[in-house]
Amino acid sequence: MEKNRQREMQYAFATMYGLSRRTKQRLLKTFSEEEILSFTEKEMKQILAPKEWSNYERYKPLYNIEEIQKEWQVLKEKGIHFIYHSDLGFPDRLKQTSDCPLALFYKGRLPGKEKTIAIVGSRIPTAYGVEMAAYFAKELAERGVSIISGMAFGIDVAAHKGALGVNGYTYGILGCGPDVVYPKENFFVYEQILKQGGIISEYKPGELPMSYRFPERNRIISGLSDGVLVVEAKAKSGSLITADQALEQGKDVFALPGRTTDLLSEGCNWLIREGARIVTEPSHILEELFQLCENNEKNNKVQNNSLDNREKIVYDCLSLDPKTVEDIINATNFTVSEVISILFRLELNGYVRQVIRNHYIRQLI
Amino acid sequence: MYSKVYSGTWEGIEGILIQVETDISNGLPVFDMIGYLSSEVKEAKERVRTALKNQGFLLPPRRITVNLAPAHMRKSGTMYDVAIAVSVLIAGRYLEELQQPILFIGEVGLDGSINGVQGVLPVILKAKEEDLSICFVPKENQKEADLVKDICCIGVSTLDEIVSILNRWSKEDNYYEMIDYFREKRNEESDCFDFEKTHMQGTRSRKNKESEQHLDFADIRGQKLVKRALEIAVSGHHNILLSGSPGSGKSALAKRVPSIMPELTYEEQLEITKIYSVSGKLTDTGTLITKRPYRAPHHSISMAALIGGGRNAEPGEISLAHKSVLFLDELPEFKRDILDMMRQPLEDRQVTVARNKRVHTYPADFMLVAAMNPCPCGYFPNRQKCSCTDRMRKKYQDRLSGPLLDRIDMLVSVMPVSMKMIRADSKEEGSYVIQKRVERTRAIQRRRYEEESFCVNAHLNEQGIEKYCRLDEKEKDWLEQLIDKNEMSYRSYVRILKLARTIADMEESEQIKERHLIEAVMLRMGLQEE
Repeated sequence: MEKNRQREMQYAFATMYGLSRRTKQRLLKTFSEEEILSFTEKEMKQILAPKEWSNYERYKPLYNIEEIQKEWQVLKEKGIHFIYHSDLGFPDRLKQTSDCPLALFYKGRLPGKEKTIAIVGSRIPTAYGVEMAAYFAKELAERGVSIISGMAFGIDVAAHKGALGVNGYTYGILGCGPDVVYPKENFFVYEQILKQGGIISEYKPGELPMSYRFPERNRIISGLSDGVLVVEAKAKSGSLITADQALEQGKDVFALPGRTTDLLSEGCNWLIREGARIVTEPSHILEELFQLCENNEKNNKVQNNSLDNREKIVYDCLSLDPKTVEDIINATNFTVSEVISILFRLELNGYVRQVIRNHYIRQLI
Repeated sequence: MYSKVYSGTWEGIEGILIQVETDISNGLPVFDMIGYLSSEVKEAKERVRTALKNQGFLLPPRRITVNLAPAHMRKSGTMYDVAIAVSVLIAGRYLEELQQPILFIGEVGLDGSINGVQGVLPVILKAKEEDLSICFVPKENQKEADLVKDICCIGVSTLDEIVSILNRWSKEDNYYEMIDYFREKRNEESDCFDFEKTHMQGTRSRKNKESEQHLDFADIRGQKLVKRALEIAVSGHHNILLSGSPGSGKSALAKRVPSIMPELTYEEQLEITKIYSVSGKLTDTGTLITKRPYRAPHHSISMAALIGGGRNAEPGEISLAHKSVLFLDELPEFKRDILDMMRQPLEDRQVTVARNKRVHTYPADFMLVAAMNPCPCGYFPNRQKCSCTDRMRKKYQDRLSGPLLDRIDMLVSVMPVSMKMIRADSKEEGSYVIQKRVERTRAIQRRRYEEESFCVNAHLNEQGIEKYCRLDEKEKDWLEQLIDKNEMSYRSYVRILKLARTIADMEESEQIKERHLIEAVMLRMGLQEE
């Protein structure tokens, strides 16, 4: 009974409006959750700094035990777990950061002692970026590294999918309540992550995705991971905020280099100039994470033996940069229908992939 | 005194003969017109009366009644004026009674001049069908009327001319002589006209130049995939959707599609000319349309302009593109309900338009070539220029209705050609060569579908597919597996078969082989998923 009540108090305190996270943490040094919740307005005014008070006054949060109990019940019905920062199971990595959230809501599970890597990047990446994000996620997940990302469009969801594809663990950190699927197009990824990892959020169920919540969410992404890999990012993008916070939290920042003229690589190249680890293959990250020199000659080349001559010619035309059918026709001098047939067979056997209509890239194996 | 002459109008693209009767009898001086007339026909009364006066014919101060029969049909337009005038002249004894039925069409000016009208061709065709042998048409419409053989069309420019011609020949009671006279005169004139034409070609209006000279596929460098796709599309009359960024050449390619379509037969030419005649679009050329028209309406088009309709239920763009290409650029920008209207004509190859009492059926056997950008800004997948999110792209593509996409057989993306490619001095295949190949493929289809109601692969029906698109066991298994794997619908399956049939026909292969299916799948896939 007593324990239950304490949980409810913690819940009520963590989700209380009107007090900033820093204020709450400051108050917790002197008072218990129960005390703070039971303060009258007059007492509050004395305790809080004027600026904090004006914020508090705006909301006038009232502690209503029935309301809290109702919410607590809903939480249980939805299968959402609540973990308080002082709890034992609370992720150590996150606890050590300066701006640690008071509590986390999650579905599925939380990352444990395994190594974790956050893969972040643009929401509007190139086909190359998507492919690399998925490739790195897959390679790392296969070696037992959990992939953490923000479940946004583009790089994020590609990373999740990459890890899910090889039955690896992956965690999605949301900028809204853990029961809100945003963006809703990623519903299937969301569902699958619940089985192979977890959905984690600082916000209570039902909270909507607000723009100011995403930078806040980014600090949890970096906080939960051992290192952050930025795949593709424009200058001054959200991914750089994550990288910035990772540096503040003392985590490793990895960046995938790109051409200087590519807008989407500007952010990555900038990071490298500022001292981020340059990464060109997954083993570079693994070395860093496990501090061991795994001589893992990754053979990117397909076992070409199964391809016939003409298929090989077409395959050799392709790279990770999308090529149009037109390009291939011009490069090979084959007829249109032949090129189409060969591409079809290659795609069916998983050698190439059509990223968008009539654009092909090599599939990394 | 009573008189009767013929005039004509049209419904859809079929002509209808109208009898114009006049009676002049004793009573208060009145000019009355009856026969379910619209206001422009009623106004004919004033035009005719004044015109006759100005040509020197004084109407008797008696009761004049004009009836346009059949009286239950709503009549509109100004092409009855001449018939009314002539009929009044006969009833007023300015002219002898006609020895045989004669057709008059044309609009009358207040000074007695005769102006051109729309829809002359279908009316003359109908007159020929009804065994009339003499027609008076406005001078402006003479060339159009002359397209009909074995009927004597006399072009006139004033009422006086009609009177003098009729008076001259009727006295001898011999119309045959008149017919011969005008036939000879016409032959002389046409020789003369040809001479003029050859000499004036250089100075002929430059604005028509582009539409006159046929654009050629040889003008386009590269784009092999799209060209191949368009050739397949034309060979089997499949509808096609081109997707590509601005400036990649979608319109340029579409414009050249008519140049690879088979030559028109005389019947087809006549049919197209009829449509243009009733919509009043023929006056500037006045001759038979021998080349396939290319129609590319802007996306702000209204329903009536696209499908047909308006006050007089005129043919819309889909009918004007009959036997040719309808190019809809920026397909997602068209209003969705307007595009949905095209679904039925796409199936039936004709369209029925009803406007108050007139129900018109226009042929609309067109090939749809549509174009769209891959995303709202148009530059996807070039990420240097495009920053559209996946959601924006999806939303953009969702503007197209599924049922319309279902009627489109192929989807190809058009990429801009690099400068290197343009400068390269490569020899491109000309339209003429492609056209010959297309004609051969069409001939195979015509032979195969001799006993069917259709003659191209795209129009194959359920039974036709059973009968003509047989697959071997191996191919059948292969296709079924693919369909299952990609979760394609039965409709996709049918479309793939039709497309594969065309590709096989292009190789003159009676059996559909695996490679034909593969190409069909590749040109079809993505239509549903995207």
